[in-house]
Amino acid sequence: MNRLRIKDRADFLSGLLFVGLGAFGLLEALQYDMGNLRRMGAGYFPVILSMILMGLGVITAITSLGTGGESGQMTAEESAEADDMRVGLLAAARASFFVIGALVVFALAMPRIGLVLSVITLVVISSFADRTLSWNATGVIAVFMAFVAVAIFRWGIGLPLPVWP
Amino acid sequence: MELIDNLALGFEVALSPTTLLYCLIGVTFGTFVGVLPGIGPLATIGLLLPITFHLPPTEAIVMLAGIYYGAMYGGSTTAILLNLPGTAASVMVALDGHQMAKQGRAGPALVMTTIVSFAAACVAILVIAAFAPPLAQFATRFTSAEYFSLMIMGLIAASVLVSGSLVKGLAMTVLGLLLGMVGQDVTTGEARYTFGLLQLYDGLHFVIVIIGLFGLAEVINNLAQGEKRQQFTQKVPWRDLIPTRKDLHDSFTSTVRGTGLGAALGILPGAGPAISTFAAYAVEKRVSKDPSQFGRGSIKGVTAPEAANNAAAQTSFIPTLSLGVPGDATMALMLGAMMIHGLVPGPQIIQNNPYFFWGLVASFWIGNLLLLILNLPMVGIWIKMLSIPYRWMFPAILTFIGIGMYSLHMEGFDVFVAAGFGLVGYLFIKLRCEAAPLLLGLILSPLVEENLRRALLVSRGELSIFVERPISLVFLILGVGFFLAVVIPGIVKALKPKPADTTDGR
Repeated sequence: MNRLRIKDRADFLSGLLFVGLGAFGLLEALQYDMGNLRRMGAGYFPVILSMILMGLGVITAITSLGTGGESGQMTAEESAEADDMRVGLLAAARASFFVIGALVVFALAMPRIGLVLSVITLVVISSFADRTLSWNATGVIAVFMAFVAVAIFRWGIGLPLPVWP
Repeated sequence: MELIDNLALGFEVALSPTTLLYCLIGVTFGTFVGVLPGIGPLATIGLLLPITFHLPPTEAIVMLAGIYYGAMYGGSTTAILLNLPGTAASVMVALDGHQMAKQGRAGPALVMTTIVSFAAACVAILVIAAFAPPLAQFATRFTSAEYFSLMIMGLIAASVLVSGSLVKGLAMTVLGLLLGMVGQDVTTGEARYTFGLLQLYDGLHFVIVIIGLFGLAEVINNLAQGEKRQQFTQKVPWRDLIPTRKDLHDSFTSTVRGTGLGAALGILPGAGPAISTFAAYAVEKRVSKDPSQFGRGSIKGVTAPEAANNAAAQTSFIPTLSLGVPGDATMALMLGAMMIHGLVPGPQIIQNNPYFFWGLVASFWIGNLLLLILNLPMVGIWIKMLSIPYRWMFPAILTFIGIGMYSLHMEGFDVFVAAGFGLVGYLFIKLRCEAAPLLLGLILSPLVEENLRRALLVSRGELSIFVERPISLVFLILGVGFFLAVVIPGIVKALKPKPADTTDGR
């Protein structure tokens, strides 16, 4: 019995993403003045682009579906490789959280506690993204990068960044 | 002869101490970064762009260009030694190059790529010097309609030449174009997609988007996957570095073919180094008396793509500089960088800024020469560097990103935006969406809209203007041609009846 299946999950989700983004773009752009072909208003081009994007999204999603009892058997090696490439949700979340978090904290800290301390904070927080990084290494890198940062950006280029609080 | 005069002027500029210094810095740093997997030339240029804001324009662009082709070379090194192509352009080199490394012939492979790159650069310089001025002349006849069609052609070409689904590539381009709409519309003064945020009034700064989509996303991806990179542990003694006479002999024709192909393809807007390497490899295999050697360590399979790669990298500056239409995402970045420095690429740049233009062209040659001089002895050091653990590098990368983004406007907002795009970029990686077309769309977006508007204004709303004007029509046809050339084989394959399912004896 031939059922409609999602053959390529990544493509299907991409298609949905495009449709969603296109819809968002469209709704926003419709609020702007459209004008006509001769004198295009602010909204004209965005509306067209949004619609094209949505269309492409639909096509992407549809082509990712398929029918037929396709044998989804992979060979043993292919399966193992797929396991290797598959990254646990936890690992992805962990990496994202600490990398993004480190940058966010850095941005908030910079005007308040200056370059040196912010860089050290950045390195320390981001070090949690990699479990194999030892505290010793983190410490060394933190101090080293703080020094390099000041050397390049403050002394070298002369950016008006506050060095200390 | 005018050509000689122009080049002479260029060398005068390029050999000035400061320019030379920045060229050296760019090339060295570029190779360094290109060798290290985990950060590609695009992200590196983006990363260093804020730093170059404080340099004079010519020096800045010379350095960025040096980083570009330096990173290309470094990427080839990693491709050969670790089978880890850093960019799409290194993929072909990895095919035979890594096989050679496994056969203990990493040295000759590396040395030949260096020599071949330099040879390709020499030819490419002449091509640029010969073709850029006439092309610019030709382009002075362009009106908005031609520019619009040219850009559309470039965007289509760039989006179809991606791995993965063609439709997704196009969608990413359109998404990029949409993202370029953020900010105040110059013509009408209306604020679009700003959601009340003052900082978005000038739009999304492309550097921030690049850093997020390419730099940060890559960092997150590497960390999420863990330390799965292989280390290259073979020792490469000095003797073994030298290629044999047979190597040199075999490589000659492949280099010539690769250079020719790369130089020609690089000129087309939308086609860049990546495409050239694929084409060069395919051609080489086609004309070879023994196609079976490819994929098993043939030196031709290394030198042809490498020559094409470097030739195309240089000549892709031609459309970027003369027409103002970048060939790929990296060129789009260079374009953006030039505009920030007040250099407006386009037909008039050769006339208005001759010192810059010819100085840049001359610096390509000098940069490649420096690469040759530096890298032959340094191969051993680059190999050593591959063993630096990623966990030591990523904090440094993040620090540069943080400071770089913060320093754009001296406020944290840009860092937040970059971080956001980092997450989005990671999502794209997981969903296998190519970010490069998005970048191209983003950078070209205001130009595309402006040209569209102007063309329609002139034609009083008649869309037919784009097909009535012959040059514009040609561009559009080429664009459609690229699209069909990629789409049709795919459709044909899909429509072919599948062979009956037999169980293999696995």
